[in-house]
Amino acid sequence: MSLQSDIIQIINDVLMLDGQTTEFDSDTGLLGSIPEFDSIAVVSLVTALEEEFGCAFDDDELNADVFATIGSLTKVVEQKLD
Amino acid sequence: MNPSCRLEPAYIAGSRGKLFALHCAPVARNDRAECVIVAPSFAEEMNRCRYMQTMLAQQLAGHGIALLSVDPFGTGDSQGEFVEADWQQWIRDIITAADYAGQLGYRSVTLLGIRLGALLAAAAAPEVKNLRRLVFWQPVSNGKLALNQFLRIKIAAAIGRDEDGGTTAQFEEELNRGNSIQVAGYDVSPALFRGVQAAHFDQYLSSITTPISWFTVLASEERSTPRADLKTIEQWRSEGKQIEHLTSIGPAFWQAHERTLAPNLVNETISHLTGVPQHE
Repeated sequence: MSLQSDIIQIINDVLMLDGQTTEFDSDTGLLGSIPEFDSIAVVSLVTALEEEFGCAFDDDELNADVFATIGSLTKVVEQKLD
Repeated sequence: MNPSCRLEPAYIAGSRGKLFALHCAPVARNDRAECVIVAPSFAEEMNRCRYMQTMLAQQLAGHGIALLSVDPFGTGDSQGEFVEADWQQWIRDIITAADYAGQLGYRSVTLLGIRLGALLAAAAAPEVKNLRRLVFWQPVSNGKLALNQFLRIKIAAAIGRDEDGGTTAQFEEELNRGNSIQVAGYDVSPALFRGVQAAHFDQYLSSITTPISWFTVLASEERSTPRADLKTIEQWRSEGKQIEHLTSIGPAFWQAHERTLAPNLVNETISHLTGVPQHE
C-alpha cells in the first residue's frame, strides 16, 4: 500500500467516514471540505499518524496549508519519513 | 430504558461540594451484587463517552451488575467550575464514589477507567474498598502526552481563522505564570494542568494488587495496538502484575462528534466481567 492510501485509511478510521474515503485522491480537500474535520479531529488524526509512522508533528505544522488536501498532508508525512 | 435497570440519580457529598451520582441499579439484585464505577475521561471526551456508559449500564443490569457514574468536582452536573478542579480532587471523588457504592450495599467493586480515567482509577485503586479488578477502555498511560494532545486542540481550532494559534510551549508558559488557559471551552487551571501532567501509570502501578483488564479499541482488523501500549503491558507483566490485554474492533467513540457506539467493546467487557459470552 502506498503512503497516501495508508493515510486515507487512517482518515477513514479517525473521522469514522465509514468507507466514504474510497473515492478520495490527492486533490480531495480536508479542512473546510469534510464537515467531520473539526479541531478535535485534526488532533486525533495527527496523533494517529504519529503513532502509525513513529513521526512527530511540530505545533507550527498544525496549519491550513498542511491540512488543505490529502496530497498536502501526504507530502508533509513523506518528508518526515525520509 | 431497559426494564432490568432502574435509574437512581442523587447528589452525594464530596470533599469540596455536592457530586452528581447516577446509579443504574439492576432490578434483579442479590447480596453479592457487583458495582462497576466509572472513572471518566477528560473534558470533551467525558461527554463523548456518555452513550457508551449508558449502553454498558443497560446491558450490565441484565446480568445483575450495577453501574455507578459520579461526575468529578467541576465537571458534568456536579458542583464547582472546571477551572476549580484539580487532579487530586478527582482522585478523591472516585474514592467518594466507591464509598457510596458501599453504602448502596455493593460488596464487590470494579473500577472502569475510560481514557484518562484509567489513570484516575489506578490512582484511586489502593483506597477503594472491596475492589475486585480494574478495567481500562483505551487507557491513556501518560498524562503529559494526553495534555499535549489536548493543548493542540487549541492550536487546531485557530486553523483557518485569521489568528495565531500559539504553541503548546506558549500555553505552558502561561500556566506556569499562574494563569488558566481555555481549550475548546474548558478553562484549565495551572493546578489541574500540573496534576494531569505528572500522572503516569508508572507512578501508581506498585500500589495496585488487583487484576487489570486492558481493552484496546482498533478501528479495523488492519490496525494494531500502539507500540507504546504494548511496551507498558509487557513491562507490567514482567513486574508480576496480573494484566490481561484484549482488543476490540470498533469506532473511536471518545473522539466522535456524533453519537457513536462501539457495541463490540460493551459485549466483550460484559463477557469478560461475567464469564458469559455475549451475542449481538
